[in-house]
Parts: sequence; structure tokens; C-alpha cells
Amino acid sequence: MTQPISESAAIEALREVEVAWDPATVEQRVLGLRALAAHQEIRRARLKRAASVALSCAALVVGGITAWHFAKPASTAQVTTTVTHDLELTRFADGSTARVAEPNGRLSVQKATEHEVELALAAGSGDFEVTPNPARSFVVVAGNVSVRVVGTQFRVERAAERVRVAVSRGKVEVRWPGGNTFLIAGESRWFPPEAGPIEAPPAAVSAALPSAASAEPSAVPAAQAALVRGQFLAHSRRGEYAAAYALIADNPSALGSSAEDLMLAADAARLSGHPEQASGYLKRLLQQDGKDSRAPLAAFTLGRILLSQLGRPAQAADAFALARRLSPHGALSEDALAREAEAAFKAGNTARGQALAKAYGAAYPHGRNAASLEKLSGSGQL
Amino acid sequence: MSISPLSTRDQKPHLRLVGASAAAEVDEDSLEFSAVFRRYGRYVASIGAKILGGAEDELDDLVQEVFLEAYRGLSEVREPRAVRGWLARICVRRATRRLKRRRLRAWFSLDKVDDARLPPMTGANPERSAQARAAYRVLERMDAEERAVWVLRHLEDESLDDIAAICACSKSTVQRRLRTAQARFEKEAGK
Repeated sequence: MTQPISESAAIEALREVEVAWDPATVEQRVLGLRALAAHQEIRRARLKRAASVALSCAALVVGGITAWHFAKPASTAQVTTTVTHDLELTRFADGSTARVAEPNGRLSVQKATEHEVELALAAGSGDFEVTPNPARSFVVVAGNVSVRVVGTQFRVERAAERVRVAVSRGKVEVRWPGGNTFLIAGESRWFPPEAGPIEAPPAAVSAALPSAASAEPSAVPAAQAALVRGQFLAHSRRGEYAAAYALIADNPSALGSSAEDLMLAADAARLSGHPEQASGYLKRLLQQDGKDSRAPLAAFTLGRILLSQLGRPAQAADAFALARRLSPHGALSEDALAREAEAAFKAGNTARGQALAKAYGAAYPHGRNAASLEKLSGSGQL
Repeated sequence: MSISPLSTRDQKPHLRLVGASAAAEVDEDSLEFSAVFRRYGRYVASIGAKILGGAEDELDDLVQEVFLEAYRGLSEVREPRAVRGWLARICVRRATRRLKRRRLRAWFSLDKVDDARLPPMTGANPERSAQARAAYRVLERMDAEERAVWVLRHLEDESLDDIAAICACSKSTVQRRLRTAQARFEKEAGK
């Protein structure tokens, strides 16, 4: 039963109810909110991109049907200069794409011809995936920095006059007044270089730089890094690999350097469709923790990625060989030997492939790969 | 919320009876997010707690929702003095939405308001605690908007004009809701 209460008594009683607000937790809460907001922005942007892609596909289907019924074939020149463009995605006729990677990003197409594509990034960051085409230059201009590519995947991020370029695949040339350099897959750097003749970076960017020698100014405070890492681990353990990968891609310094972290990062990257980045994490693990119990699995997984997803059989063969060396009698050794042989054949190294197939036959005469390797060995190729 | 950095139990704000609130000690004019959070975090939590009535998980999520929305919209705010009212509007809108959902769930499940919904009031004398619980039971019977108006007027000392702005309604609607709430208390007291 409750007691009756007058309005004035209620006001008097409830005025004394107050939230206990611990100022010591405020900083942590702010960091958590920032990380959560960033995470939500990434998810929102991805949803928008997915919707854009779906709309583009629908438009292509409708356009294709219409053309099939009514239109005469367009000339090659017309096709190569055609772009479909919306707020999020610009898709060129050869399949190259440019995407605004954040809500406030501003990206515009300056030129789109058979021989030249030029995009201007005025703010924010953009992701670019360029179909190899030696006959056409593809340039992204961000302030006084330009990024020139032939065929690759990379991100350009603009913070006032400073520009960060991160290459996922292939190679790009970055030019700025007074210099140029090349970046390859897995590398990222801010331009113009801090010691260069160009004006100093904005204060916010400078403050984020741990030192002039550092190429990566995205280092986050330890508390935030811990929060992001915690979220990354939670996503990974729940099998939400795309979300997990998005977190570490945007906050690389939040990822620890332990073998466990690198293995989870590799899984997140691999299973969310980023094999190049996955191979980077695995190589890092193998370089710094070659004696870790997870190293044989890392080498084996690296071999699989290189062989099946990245089409680099020679490197794959070496990775499988490393897996065998790290654990000659382990659970993966039989498969590693068979895969190494397969990769050697695929790489055109028939002698190595045959030697390995023979070794497999001797070690595992009734092994599950014996028949396929015998066949490969007999034909000398796949 | 699927991901909730603020949901760690030991970080949660909770309700208690205290004599007076601590003064904020932050840059009054900064529109930087962390400064805004430091300046108004307690205020938002206080309004939310009084409107929602003390369910800790709900309050924690509400504060998080309010500041996530604020984080996204803060760049649009030009006038530092407008931030307080703007946050209050977000908080009231989200809190009343939660109250309505709660009421709908209760209606479907035929739940009664139970003590778990009422704020934990450690440190208060038993008489005061009983009065506060009785007051919350009356608030639980009010419409969400009516309750928000009552809380802003009588517990947060907001002016009628400010309440109208916060609740996105006219001043006369605010007055009508206050009269309805007053009548409800009179009816309760007369039982």
C-alpha cells in the first residue's frame, strides 16, 4: 500500500533526489561516447553505401533492359566517359569507383575522359578502387597534394591542408609541391611531410602526432584505444567481422601487438573481404612472434589467402613451407605440404611441385590429398 | 543499445538523496563535446532520472542516447547559451518516448508499477524515502508529457516559456498539463 501525498510534499521529497554524478568517470564516458559515435557513423555510412550500390544496380538493370529494347549501341568513347554519381559513390564506366567515406566528405569529378580521370577531395576522406588501365591516369587532388595511380585501392583523407593516403592494394604516387614519393600496399602516411617546405599542419593534427618521425598521426589516447580494442574483441568473438574490422581499420593504434590481437585482426579482415590487410596482420605476427604457438596457423592461413584470394601462388608456397618448418609434425603439416605442392604447380614451378608431391606420397601414402597431387604431378600443371 | 561503453555497472549514475548539487566547474562558452558533457552531463542525467523515475539501466541508456545525438548535432549549435535548452529538449523527447514504450509494454503484459521502477534512495531517512516513492507512484500514472512538464516546472525550476520551448508545445499547453498534474495529486491526497 502507498501513502497518499500532496503535490507540495511530492515536490519537497523529489527535490532531494539527485543523480550521483562522478566527475572521475566523465572523461571515460566522453571517450566512450566518441568511440560509439564514430562506430555508428561507420555503420550508417556503410548502410548508405549499400543502399547506393543497390540503387545503382537497379538503375543498371533498368538501363540495360531499356537499352536492349530501344537504344543503339553507344560508341566506346561515350561509354568510357560515363559516370554514375550520387552523394556517396561515383562509379566509372571501367568499374573504377570513388566513394565519400564520411558524411561531411566533399568529392567532385573534375575530369573524366578516356585518358584521364581527375577527382578533387575538398573535405573529409574518400575511398578509391581503380581498375588497372595503363592508358588512363587516375588522379585524386586534395589541396596541394595529388595521388596518381594505375590500378589500386586506397583512401585519401583530408584534415585542413594535410592529407593522409592509405594504400590497401597496389601502388600510388603521391606528389606535393617540392616532392613526390610512392606508397605500396599496407602503407599510409600524411602529406606534405612535416619537415617539408610546405606550411605546417593544423594544430589538431600536429597535436595528434606522437613525433615528427611518426607516419601515423591517428594514435588515440590509451583509454580510448582500450575501449576500441574492447569493442573490437567483442565484435570478433561474436563473429561480427565487418564491424570488428571497421574499428581497427579506423583506429589502427587501438590494436595490440600480441599474437592473439593480430590473429583476430587477420580473421576480421579476411572474413570481411579484406584479404590484403589480413595478410599484412599475419605477416606482422610471423615477423614478431615466430615462436608463438599460433605462428604455424598464421603461416598456413597466410598461404591460403595468398593462394586462393590474392592469386600469388609463389608467395603462398613459401608461406606453406614456413608453416611446415614452424611445426613439422603438427596438425597442419600434411595439409601444408599438399598446399605447398599445389601452390608450386600453380606458380609454374613444376620441379618444386613434383618434389613436394613425391614427398607427400612418401609421408602420407594414403593421405586425403594423395590422388590430387599424383594427378598434378603427372600432368605437371593444374 | 547493442554497444554500450556507459553500461559498465560501476560507471553508472544512480539516484540518491543529497542535500545540494555540486557546482559545475567547466568552461561556460566552449562548444567542444567533452566540455559540453562535463557542463551538462549531470543536468541531463538529473532531468532524465526525474522523468524516468530511477530505472538505472534506462537512465544510463538515456544519457548515452542524448549525448550521442548531441555529438552528431553539436556542430550546428552556434550559441553556447542555447546548449542547455537544446540538450533538455533532446532529453525530454527521448525520455517521454521511453515512458510511452514502457507504458505500452506494461499495458500488454498487465504489469503494475513495482518498486524496481522506483529510484534507490540510499542515505535518506525512511519518511522521506516513503514520500518520494509515493510521489513517483503518482508520476507513474501521469501521461509522459504531463510528467515531463511537471518535473521541469517543479523539480528543475524551469520557466513556463522555457518548458514550452523544451517540450515543443505552447505555454497554454504547459499550463494545462500542470493543472492536470496538480489535480491528480489532489485526487491522490484526498483518497
